[in-house]
This record gives sequence, structure tokens and C-alpha cells, in this order.
Amino acid sequence: MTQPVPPRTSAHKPYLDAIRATLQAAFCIENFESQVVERHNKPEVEVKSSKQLLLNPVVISRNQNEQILIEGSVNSVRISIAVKQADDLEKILCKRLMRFMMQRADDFHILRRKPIPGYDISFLITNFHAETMYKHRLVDFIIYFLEEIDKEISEMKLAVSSRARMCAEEFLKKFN
Amino acid sequence: MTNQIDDKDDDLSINIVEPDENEWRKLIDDMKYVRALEYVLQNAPVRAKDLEKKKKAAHMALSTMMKIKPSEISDAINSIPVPLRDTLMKYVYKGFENPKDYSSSALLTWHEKVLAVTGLGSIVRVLTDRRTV
Repeated sequence: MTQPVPPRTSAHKPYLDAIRATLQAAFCIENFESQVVERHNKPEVEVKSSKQLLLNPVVISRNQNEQILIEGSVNSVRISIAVKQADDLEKILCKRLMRFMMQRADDFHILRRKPIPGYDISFLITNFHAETMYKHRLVDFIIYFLEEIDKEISEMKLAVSSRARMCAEEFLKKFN
Repeated sequence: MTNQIDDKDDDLSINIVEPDENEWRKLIDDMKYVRALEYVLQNAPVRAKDLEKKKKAAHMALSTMMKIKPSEISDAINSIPVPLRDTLMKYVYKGFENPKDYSSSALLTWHEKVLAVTGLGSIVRVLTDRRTV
């Protein structure tokens, strides 16, 4: 097997546990051909061709700014994440980071090119992905992603401020 | 089996189930929070089509849940009869949709404790049951 996801204990364990349990419940997906067009196979959570094929969408929130929306269906699951953005700098960094990933969505396989309105990034996982990849590993990946995003954005914020400080020092040395 | 859907019960004229606000308030004033929660869950308007009714009932259920202390949550869940625990889980997820009014950390504790008692099945039932709260 590929390298295991390192277990991390964080203060947000109840939030991640709730998400893991909900994802495990929502990930019961199987192949389902389109009932509207013959020979077509579409992710029902995107097409929404029939109400019988959709599950109730469910939200899990840690606080007002951080939420995750899980919409399921018979053959696909859509997971939308609203990332914490405390100030303007974090907003810009988050937007850039998400755009960077979404532009490379084809290679990412499970990523959606556009986030659902109200959220920052969306994943679309279909039964075909579940056939080639282990379901429990997909769930692990989403949880890992949630943990890492916050860390990455704070690291980038620190990097920006330290770079800005160094530039300002060098610039102002001229006037000394 | 208690979870079978009886479509004949969907006739709204004979199925006007709704928690009575005064009854609920009496139980809250007596500090009988667990009893109040059980009362709301028993009479939850799951088959109603009226959103106002559902909102009112959700407010009653969730404010009761917020009043119960974290240490007492496990006992509260154990005293709620098994068929009502699914409705309880539905209200937990309903509360998550409104993080402004209902503390998400308390709801996460509720989610964890209910899950420990009912297992993944209750989440599956929240996702699939047409009788939404």
C-alpha cells in the first residue's frame, strides 16, 4: 500500500470525526446510467435529473466561517469546503491557492473546477473514482486536506510577512 | 418495524403533529430539559410540508439541546427511546446549518455522543429519510 496518512491530533478532532462519519455514510455509491439519455452516465449530484436519486444535503460547521457541505446521490458525492479566512491577506492567499488547484483539476481527478457558491473549493467523487481508489482512503484524503489547508495558509501568511519585512528593511537602508 | 414508512399517514389532515409551545415551555421552566427534549422529538413535524412549523419545532429542540450540560448529554441520549434518536440526529444536523444561533462545538459533542450510541446507521437515515426535520 502507499504511504499511510500520518495521524494528527488537533484541537478540532470532534469536527473531523463528525465529517469522517458523515462521509463514510454518504460514500455508498454505485454505477447508475442516465435514465434520461441512453448510453450516458452522469454524476447525479450534478445533473439532479430525479429527486429519487438524491440524498438530503447535510452541513457540518465548526464555527460561522468554517463549514462543509456534503451532497450525496446514487452515483456521486459532492463535498464543498468553506475555509477559514480571518483577514484580507488570508482571503487573497486562500483564493489563489484554491484557484491554483482548481486549474489543475483534471490531474487531481476528484476536484471540481468551480466551487459551489458560498464555498471555496469543491470535490466531486463519482463511482468510477470509488472503483479505482479505496473509499476509506478517499475519506482519509479529504480529512487530511482539511487539516493541511489551514496549516498551509498560515505558513504562507508568515512567509509573506517575513518577506515584506526583509524587503522593507533593505529598501529603507538606503535612507539611513 | 418502527422505521417503515407508512404512506397512508401522509394525509396531513389526520397527522397534524406538532410540539405545543406552552407544554414545552412548562417543561423548560421546570428545568426538566431531557423530558422537554423527548417531548419535542416525540411530536416533531417530520411529515409536515409547512416550513414555519419545522422552523419553530427546530428552534424548540435545539434550544433545549443547548441548555443540557455537556456532562449530562450521554445520560440524556440514553434516556431517549431508540426510535427518537434518529430524529435527534436530524436536529443535530439542522443545528449545524445555523452556526450563528447554535453553538457548533456543543453540537459536535452531541453528534459524537449520539453516534456512539446509534452508530453510522443514524447518519445514513438522516441522509436518506424523506421525513426531514
